[in-house]
Amino acid sequence: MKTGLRVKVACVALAACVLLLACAPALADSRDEWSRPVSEAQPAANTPANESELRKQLEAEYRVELEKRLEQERSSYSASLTSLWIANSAVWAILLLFVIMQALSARKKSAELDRIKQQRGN
Amino acid sequence: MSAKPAQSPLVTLALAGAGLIGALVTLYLSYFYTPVQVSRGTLWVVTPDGGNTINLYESYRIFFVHLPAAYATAVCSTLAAIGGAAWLLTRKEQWQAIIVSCCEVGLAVGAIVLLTGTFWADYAWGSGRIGSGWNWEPRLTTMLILWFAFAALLVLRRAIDGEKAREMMTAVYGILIGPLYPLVSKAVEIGQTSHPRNFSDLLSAPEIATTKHAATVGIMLALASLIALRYCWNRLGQRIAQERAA
Amino acid sequence: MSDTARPASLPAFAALLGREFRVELRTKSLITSMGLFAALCVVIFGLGVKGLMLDDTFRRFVLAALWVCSWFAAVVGLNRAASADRNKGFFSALMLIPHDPALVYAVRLVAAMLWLVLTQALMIVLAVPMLRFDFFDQPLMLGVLVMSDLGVLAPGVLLASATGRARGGEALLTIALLPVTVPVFLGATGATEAMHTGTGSAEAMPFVLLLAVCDAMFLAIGLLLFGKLNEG
Repeated sequence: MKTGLRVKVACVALAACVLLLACAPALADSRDEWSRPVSEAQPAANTPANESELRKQLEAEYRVELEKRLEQERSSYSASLTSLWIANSAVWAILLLFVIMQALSARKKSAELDRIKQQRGN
Repeated sequence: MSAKPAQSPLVTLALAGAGLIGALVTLYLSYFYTPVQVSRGTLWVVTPDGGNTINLYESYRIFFVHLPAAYATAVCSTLAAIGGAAWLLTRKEQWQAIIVSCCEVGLAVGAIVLLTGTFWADYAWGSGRIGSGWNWEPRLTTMLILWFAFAALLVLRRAIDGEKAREMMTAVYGILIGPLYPLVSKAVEIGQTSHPRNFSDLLSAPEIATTKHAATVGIMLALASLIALRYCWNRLGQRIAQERAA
Repeated sequence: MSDTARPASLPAFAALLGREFRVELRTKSLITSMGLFAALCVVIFGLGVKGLMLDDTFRRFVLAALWVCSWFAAVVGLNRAASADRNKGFFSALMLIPHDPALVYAVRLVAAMLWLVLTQALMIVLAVPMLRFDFFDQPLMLGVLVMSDLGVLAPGVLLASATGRARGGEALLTIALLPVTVPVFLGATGATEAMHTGTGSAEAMPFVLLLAVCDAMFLAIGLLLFGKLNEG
């Protein structure tokens, strides 16, 4: 009889445990602190006043770093554009110089040719 | 390029038109067809401090002018040497005009190679300050020297009085310029630090490869038209000199 | 000229070389001008760097300075020889010999090499106390020295024979020769630096190879074209 009761109590306890285990996800879902990693939950539980400060501080650091990286990226990008612009203007300057030299020598040569023709005519 | 095509102004004009179209197509493709290079390390560039590859962003579009212009310089120096040898063999004055035209155009395209390269390098492996990219490595140095050699030939020609001696000197110096380009391209193997050896990574992007090939053709056409143009004027100069002597 | 030209022979070569030496021994013009020039260069560089620390940068500077001095000494020698040729008509007389003109080129080259090596020996002797030069400790250095001298003088003798007749020929030779010989200069400075800083002579080999290629090329061009450049 006693043994039968003990077995029954054990069975109920066991069933309760199984039920608890089975319902654990549901409990976790309904109260999301449960699913948090321990390392983050612990300081929050221990020093609730510190948590928001730490979070703010980390966020500020993250913002500064992000801005720095973005600034670097932006300046690098604009520097690349500057480099492209300078190189391009060098190309155009050289070609322009070439055309001007060409025009000057053409003028000189045709004047020379005219002079010779005139001399022939006389 | 042989001596023949440039003798007719029509051919020169056609070449000039083709060169202009080639240059415009190159410009269009390199600015509107190829994407901005944003992925890291697609072109092999090493920063002097760390050995990291850096992002070239928009500056890599310089490549589409820089590389074909370097090819064009090679063509100019080779043609100068061929012209020198051909003049020694045939003694036809067309070849003199070709040597001189090649040196004149070589000066222009060589300056393009040097300046685009320097301004690109200021960003890519220098500190960003103008001139910081010039690091005296062999490829830069030898290209500069090739440029000086083109200039030296033109100066020498002006300084020598007798026509025969001048033509002889032009031909011999043209032949001496010829081997300078292979030395430039071999120099990249020795003491190499910054200048990329090849561009296979960059060319693995299909748009970039297409644009590079098109740019090479376009710039070569432009080069041919410039040489043809200079050739016409140099031939005219020779004729004027003959008239004056007559 | 070509129909009467006989192939170059060793006795003719020896006779012409002997003539160069006799002329030089009598006038001593090349050795004095090149030697004095080189000595002055070393003195000026020594004055300019006096009191500097003897560190790696200083030694590299000394190496570069000595190469520059020796390059300009070579140009001074070539110009001096060309002006003697022009003033006294040596050269046109030499070109009349019934031999392949390449022989004249070879003789000129060998003689010029000898004068330059002597000048460089003087420079090194002076540089040991004045520039604290302490580098000539590798036997390969001698090879690099001779190869770079050949690389400079092979196109130098060829070009000097033409610029010697032009107006302002002295300045012209400098302008014409420098671009052509820069690969040689690159090879020479690279090889000496590699031997200086590197672990052994293995790192210097690409530069020595560059020197060898330049030498062979310039020598071939010189032998082929010397006659053509100076005909008529």
